[in-house]
Amino acid sequence: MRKPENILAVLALLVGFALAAPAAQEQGERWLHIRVDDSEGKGEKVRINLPLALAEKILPAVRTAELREGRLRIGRPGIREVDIRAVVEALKTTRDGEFLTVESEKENVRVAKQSGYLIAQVRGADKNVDVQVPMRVVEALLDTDDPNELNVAAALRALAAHGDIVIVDVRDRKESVRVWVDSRSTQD
Amino acid sequence: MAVLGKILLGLLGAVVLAVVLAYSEGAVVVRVTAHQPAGENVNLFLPAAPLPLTLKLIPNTHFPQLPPEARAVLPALVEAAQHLETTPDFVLAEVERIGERVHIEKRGRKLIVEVESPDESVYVEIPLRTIAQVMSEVERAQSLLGEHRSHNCLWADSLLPCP
Repeated sequence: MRKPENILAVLALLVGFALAAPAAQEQGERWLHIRVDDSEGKGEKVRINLPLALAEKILPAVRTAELREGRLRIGRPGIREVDIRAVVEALKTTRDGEFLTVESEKENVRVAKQSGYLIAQVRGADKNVDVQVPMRVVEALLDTDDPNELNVAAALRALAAHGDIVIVDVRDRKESVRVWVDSRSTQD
Repeated sequence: MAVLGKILLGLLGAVVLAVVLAYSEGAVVVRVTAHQPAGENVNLFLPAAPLPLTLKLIPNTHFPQLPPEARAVLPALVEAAQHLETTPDFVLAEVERIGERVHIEKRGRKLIVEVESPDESVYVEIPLRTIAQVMSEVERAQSLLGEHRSHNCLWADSLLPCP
């Protein structure tokens, strides 16, 4: 007599799992959003939403001269002359503080390390720029044996593991650009 | 009469089965609606399943050799299409400017592209699995084409590897 009840209970459990699975997947998914609003000219608006897992998956599949196995070649002269690895290593071990400040009539520029983030700010009369990158992402970017490449795939993984963050925020009279990561698939 | 009836029933069954199989992977839909009087309206509704098979039948040499930049992203497109099948629905990209709009969305197991312009509206709907299959066929053909050209292979008309 109890058999049908057991079957019903198992069915209910299965239905429950089936309904819960997509929700759980959605909760765990991290999204990279890009929003560009241009108030001049044709008033262009760009909205891009990309699951970070998708970017992680497709990046190693791209094989160009510059990008291979999720690693980006940075062989340009000028960049080669700078030992980025040494710079980042120095940043890692340095305490929080300002590395660069430029004050001029037009704008003020500030580059700093603050609470585990590398921060760049530009404050001007008609332009504000904020860039913040978690140090873990910067470290992951340089997690490679070749000094002339950046490990973009590792940086994406580090970014996905990080909490919600606004990476780039640019606002001026003509346009605004915002790049951020969160767990929502929409920009609303 | 009974035998003829059975044959007709068999034929009907085969046709129904063929249609069901052809549409088992969904359909590729292309709709172009012109906004100008001289413009043309296009309505295309193709079964998706036979498309990769059709590509297999095209001789290797009839494939145009894609530029290296395009070939480089083919495996990524296959991966992307496969991965998108399991992600929740979302709007991948939306670009708007005065009088124009492009909207790319993942809906269900399909990729939907909508383009609005003063001249026409375009609606394209492609099953993600078809994108993955078609891209991997194109990728395979491109690599064989490259091999054949580099070896000056006499078997270039075939998809089979050089002997």
